[in-house]
Amino acid sequence: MDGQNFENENNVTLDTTATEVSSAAEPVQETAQETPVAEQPANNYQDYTTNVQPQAAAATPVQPENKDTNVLAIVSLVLGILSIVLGCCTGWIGALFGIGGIICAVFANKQGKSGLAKGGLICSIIGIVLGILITVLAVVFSMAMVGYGFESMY
Amino acid sequence: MKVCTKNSRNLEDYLYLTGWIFLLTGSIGIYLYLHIVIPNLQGYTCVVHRLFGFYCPGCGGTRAVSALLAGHPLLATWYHPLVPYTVVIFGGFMLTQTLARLHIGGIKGWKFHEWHLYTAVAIMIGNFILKNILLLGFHISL
Repeated sequence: MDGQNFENENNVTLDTTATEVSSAAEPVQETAQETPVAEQPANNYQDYTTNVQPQAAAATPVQPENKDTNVLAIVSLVLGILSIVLGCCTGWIGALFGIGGIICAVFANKQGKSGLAKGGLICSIIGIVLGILITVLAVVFSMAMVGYGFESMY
Repeated sequence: MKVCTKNSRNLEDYLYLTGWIFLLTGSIGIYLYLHIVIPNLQGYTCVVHRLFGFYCPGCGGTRAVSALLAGHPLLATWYHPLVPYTVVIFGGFMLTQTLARLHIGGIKGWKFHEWHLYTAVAIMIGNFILKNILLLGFHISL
């Protein structure tokens, strides 16, 4: 029975130490109880980000640049700009660029309509009209102004 | 993460090849125009300006090219802003694409954007309107 007393004494001592430990552990439990509360916003934040990130990742491939851009449409607009600029200065050379721009714009429209091809077509037509007009005016002007000097613009 | 589609990669490749064609033919054309055509057309002037008294959309282009070749970019911008704009955009595209293809300096080639061309059209129209306002309204010539 000494052993039992010994055990009881040990139990008592263990109980007292357990109460002391439990009393000392109460703040720990309180903090342990508080920590899940404090972790909830982190969990909410993680849930928020996990809900948002797939949407953002799914949204980025939707915007591939140059997907619908046609090379012929680009070339048509470049030739159209050149036809306007050169059509005013050189006449028929600008008209040649305009013809090239119209051809490129027509082929670009067959592959798919785009704003660049439409702009190239408009600029090319303007360039051709200007080129033909300037060529005719230059011939008439040069024939009419024979014998008179020209002021150089260059 | 930037998505590089096959179409965008092919577009830059085609534009790079087209750019070399434009660069070679344009260089030959500008050389012939400045050294052969212009000296043989003494007294040649813009027909539009001569007949109607206002500048055409191309007026100042030759002077801009000459000023740019002489190393005067600001003067070239005054003569015709489309010329230095083209040199910057087109030259930058070709230069960076060439460096990127040669793997020099880890440079990424410029991508084509549609606003490059729309800006060129806007510059051409704006220059045409502004120069004629300055000429007809304030008597400021090129």
